[in-house]
Amino acid sequence: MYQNCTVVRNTTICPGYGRIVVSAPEISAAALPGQFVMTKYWDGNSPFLLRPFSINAVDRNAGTIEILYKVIGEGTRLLLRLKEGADFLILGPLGNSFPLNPNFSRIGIVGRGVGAAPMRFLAEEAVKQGMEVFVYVSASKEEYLFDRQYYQEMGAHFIGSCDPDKMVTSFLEEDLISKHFDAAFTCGSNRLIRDIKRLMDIYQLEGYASLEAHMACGVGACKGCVCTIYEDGEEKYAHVCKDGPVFPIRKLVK
Amino acid sequence: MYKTDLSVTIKSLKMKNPVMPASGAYDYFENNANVFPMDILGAIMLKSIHRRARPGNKPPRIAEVSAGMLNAVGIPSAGIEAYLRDNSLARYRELNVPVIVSVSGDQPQDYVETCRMLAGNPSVDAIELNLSCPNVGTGLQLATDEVLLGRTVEATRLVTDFPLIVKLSPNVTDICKPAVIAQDCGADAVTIANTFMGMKIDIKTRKPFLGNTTGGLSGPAIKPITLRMVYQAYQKISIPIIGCGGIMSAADAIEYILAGATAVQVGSGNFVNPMLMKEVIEGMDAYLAENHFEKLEDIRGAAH
Repeated sequence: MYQNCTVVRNTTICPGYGRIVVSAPEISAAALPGQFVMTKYWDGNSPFLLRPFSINAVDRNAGTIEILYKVIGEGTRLLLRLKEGADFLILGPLGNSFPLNPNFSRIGIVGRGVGAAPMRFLAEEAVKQGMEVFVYVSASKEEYLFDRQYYQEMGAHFIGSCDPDKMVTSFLEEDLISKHFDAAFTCGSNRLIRDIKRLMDIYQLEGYASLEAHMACGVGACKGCVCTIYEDGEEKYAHVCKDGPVFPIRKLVK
Repeated sequence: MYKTDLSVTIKSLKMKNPVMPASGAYDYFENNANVFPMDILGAIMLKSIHRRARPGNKPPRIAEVSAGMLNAVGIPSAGIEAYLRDNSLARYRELNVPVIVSVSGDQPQDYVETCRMLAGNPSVDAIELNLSCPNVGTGLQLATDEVLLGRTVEATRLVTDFPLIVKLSPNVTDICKPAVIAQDCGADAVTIANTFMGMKIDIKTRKPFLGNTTGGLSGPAIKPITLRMVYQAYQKISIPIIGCGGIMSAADAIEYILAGATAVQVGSGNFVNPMLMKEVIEGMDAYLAENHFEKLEDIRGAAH
């Protein structure tokens, strides 16, 4: 879908971080956890490319989607300035989604800081499907443990850490010793992906990661956003926008 | 449907309007498929099919720059034989619009072999020779070497009856030279032009940003330059010119027609606005009608 939508709310969570709520009923109804949107919310050709964002949450009753963002460059600086009622073009929802197998009874979700943005939507769906959800998030500061309240309200177990000496996966590992998890989900960081692969091998669980990449079109046309995957004993390129953004971790780590 | 006559003919290639995507710039079947019906386009252009399978360049392949983007995709391709084996061209035919196949290779012989393999293929209406990709391995752009360009066009002309379009490189001092060579060696049209070679350096790592070091610049940044090239080539050749470079609106496309282009290709503009080609077609029609022209032909080259 390619739709002109409207900003409902845009709030600064803490300096440099914001949350925007956009009225997009059809996109909100169709979106699956892990999918992303290409967006344009400025006039003219500068910046040039659409901006991809993961979907942080959907409210299907209100017909909205939420995006959690960090101000990094020109695109997000413009995003921070958007006011209620502003135009917000969306192409999406795009890409595949996190596979929530109905047989899963307990899952772990692992992320760091704003990189964990797509995980709230995933946790919400998993809780709705009756799964027990453990969310492990690390950050450099307490205030960057985003969405804590949402996770707690939806009934997920939230484990947040700002300990610089402990990798966030170590909290999952502590729980893996006493409990069986069917799958672990993460996004972004190669370091987390590699460590989850280690846990997958020891504790026999499935693992999925959502990747980010520089992309131009978001729909598979430009062939720009490739990542390396390992499939059938071969190393090959896959497109983050269309083959992903979610990949089984066993395909990402040799 | 149209208020004016937008139709364009390049030999046996008959298009109801002059608008098509640039090679490698549109997804016809999935995410973009319902944005507008594909059969409103003048033609569709395939992503270049390489003679042999290529994985493409290592990432990052895309970098945003002021008023445009760099790409160093490097023609990932299954290779022509895989396309023919899987009959993957047939699905394009179902879009009910003329199909132009872009072909690429590492050396002149590759183009000859691919065109020979495509001869008589019922899913093909025309061939565009991509002789100007700045991102494939050797950095050799056939369209910038006058001898190789002439040899490649001449040799492919001998083995194909399809309308033959030659996509030229803008990375030359005088676009008229390769344009005249392409015409003299049997091309039915030229596309002016491919991307401009450029680069971006990451000041954090202090290394080239793109995996391929250099990439091709596209977008509104290049439009004044390619427009000038179309204008110049129009004075020197009589075969049709397809203008390609930085089209972001109907007005941009009209400028190309006024400079002398017969048709236009929309490239990276599609990434920014998936509706753009539809807007360009409708906007050209409206412009002609508002200015009391009956057909696109009436304004072609009018800037001269």
